[in-house]
Amino acid sequence: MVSSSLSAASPVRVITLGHVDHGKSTLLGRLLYDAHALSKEQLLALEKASMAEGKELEPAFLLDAFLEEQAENITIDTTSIPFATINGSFIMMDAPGHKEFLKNMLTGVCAADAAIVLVSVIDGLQDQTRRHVQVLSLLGMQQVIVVINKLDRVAYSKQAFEQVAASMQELFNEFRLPQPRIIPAAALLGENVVSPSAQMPWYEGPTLLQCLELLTAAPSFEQGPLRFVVQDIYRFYKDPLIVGRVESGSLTIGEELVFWPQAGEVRKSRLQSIEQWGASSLKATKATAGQSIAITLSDCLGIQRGDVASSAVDPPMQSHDLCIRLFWLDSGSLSVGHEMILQLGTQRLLARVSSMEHVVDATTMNVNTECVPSLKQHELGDVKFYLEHPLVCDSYHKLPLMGRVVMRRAHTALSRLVGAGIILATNEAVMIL
Amino acid sequence: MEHLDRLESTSIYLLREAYYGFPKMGMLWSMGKDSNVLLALVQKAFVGQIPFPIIHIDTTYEFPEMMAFRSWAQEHYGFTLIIHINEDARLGRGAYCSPIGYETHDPLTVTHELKTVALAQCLREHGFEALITGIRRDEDATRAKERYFSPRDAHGAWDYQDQPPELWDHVMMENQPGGHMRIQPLLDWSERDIWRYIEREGIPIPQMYFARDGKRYRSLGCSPITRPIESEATTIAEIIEELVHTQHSERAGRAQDHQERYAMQKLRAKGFL
Repeated sequence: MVSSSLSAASPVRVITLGHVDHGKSTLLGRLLYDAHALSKEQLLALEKASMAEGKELEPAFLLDAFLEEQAENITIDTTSIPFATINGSFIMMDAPGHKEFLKNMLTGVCAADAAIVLVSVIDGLQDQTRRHVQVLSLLGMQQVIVVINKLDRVAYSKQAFEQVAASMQELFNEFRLPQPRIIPAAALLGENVVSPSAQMPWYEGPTLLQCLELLTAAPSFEQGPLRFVVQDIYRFYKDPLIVGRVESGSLTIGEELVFWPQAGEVRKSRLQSIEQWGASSLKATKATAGQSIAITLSDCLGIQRGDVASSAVDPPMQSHDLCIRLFWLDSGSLSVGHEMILQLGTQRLLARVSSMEHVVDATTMNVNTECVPSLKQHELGDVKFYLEHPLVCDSYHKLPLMGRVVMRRAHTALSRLVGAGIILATNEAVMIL
Repeated sequence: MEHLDRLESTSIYLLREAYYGFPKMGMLWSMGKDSNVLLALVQKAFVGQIPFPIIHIDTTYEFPEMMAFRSWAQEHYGFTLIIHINEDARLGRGAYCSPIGYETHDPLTVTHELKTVALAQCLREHGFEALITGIRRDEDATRAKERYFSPRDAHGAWDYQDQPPELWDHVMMENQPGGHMRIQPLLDWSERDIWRYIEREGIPIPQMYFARDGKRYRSLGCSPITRPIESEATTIAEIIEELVHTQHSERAGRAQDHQERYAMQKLRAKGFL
């Protein structure tokens, strides 16, 4: 396997999205195959599986590993395959295109640094394409590559490509996403996937692989305001250990931390020590964004799971009223008056829907600007919640990690996540899509 | 943030979520490299403690050298170790009319009875709500589709056709009646990440991973069905270099994976790791 032995950097996580049958799994399979990223066993299994299903080499089977997936030629759940070239390393993720599997698609998008949106030149832009681009926009995905596939089926027509490309550009404008790089390709034959296509001399841009090599992994939030999210308190030793993760900013021994939420009195405590275990850890004096740490404090102030620490300057909001731009996953709708458990970091709070507006219809994708009573499956809307106990947060546009929430239904056993959204600042509560 | 630091931090976060959500938890430990990385991560997450039992599902077909490592590690870490063997299957009593073993049965059957069924027995006996496992997405195409927190039903089965969404770090924290949760903190790690971390942290591992007489074990399982690979790698640095150039997959030497098409899916749907 070709692999970059040097890089200590994180691989870029790339999700592939697209309408059913536009060729996602085929594209990824082809990419891995042509970049020589497959082991002998993988190739052998691929040949066996293709033969058993009566096909010539079917690159999709590399990712669609389940029996049901191979028999029906579909992708049920998001998968991931690592691969590397001299110029970069990647985790390629394949997301299902079927509507029923949108929850699995969203699971993939939440973990991705970049996205490939695949569109067939024959079918052009479909509802599912719009929905995928809408989700990318909601989650603020900045790095997107568009691949227009199946050019072999239209005799490599430049005109056919340009027509679909124009509709994609328009869609990205509509959702206020930066204009993507658009590549004409024939995934099954590998045209413009790893090697430039001789069939499309009119296209002089980069291949998919060249585009991938320009992507970057998730940014660090080290320079942001301090947000330390408390996960648990351990009493293994004399001093209680407060454990959690620094989501943004940094903290240094001796520094005064302010804990949220607050009701009346200010909760302040001095950072005494950062406790570590293991060979690589010298006595730490500072911890920065991304690190899971254990600390001791001068005073534990009734600190509990869900609390958030900040510096004295630039604290988070604590809010009883929230406006959330929400993508709704559940087959049952969300209505005014419903009670939900809102989750942000380790906070879990009961919230009641007070109103909703700007709902985007799941089929027509039209925006309903009037107040509506409910949000149906796969609809997007701005939903106002009232919380008895305040949520400690920031607006998504200020600090993404502290401004995104998920939710499940309250008073329900075994309730799964049914919605994901971003917190809008008060002045953002207008449709910005 | 360096890649290994990022992986480490996410794993620690998940371990702490698991410990909060499932007080009655155990960790599966096969004595292999991934298991030992897990142990190191547990010590980091709980600042020197291993606050739950470590479980070894003993098939009775372990390599002697691995058994020696088990004794050494038990002493070294001082953890509570639960050893479970499906004795009915090995002795051919109870529900079994004859002993199950590699001498008489195919690898899929033996793996199912001595690993999956043994694990289910152990879960029942101890009433664990959750199990930490060391599986990774890059090992196998069905593992690639896994979640960090993956629910199993009362029979240990994996409903891979309808997994709960896992958005950002928000995982499923509730069990189905009689079911348990698989906690999989190493999902994002690659084989090479594991080796780089073992090197960086100085994590003890069995010597069978290093080449002797031109051969080494890349992945370790039951002795009758685990084959070594041709290798001259005697140090971790050499192993990492070897992985850069290899044309083979990590579990190529593990017979039960390759007996038939969908072998891993069938094993895993019923509760295999």
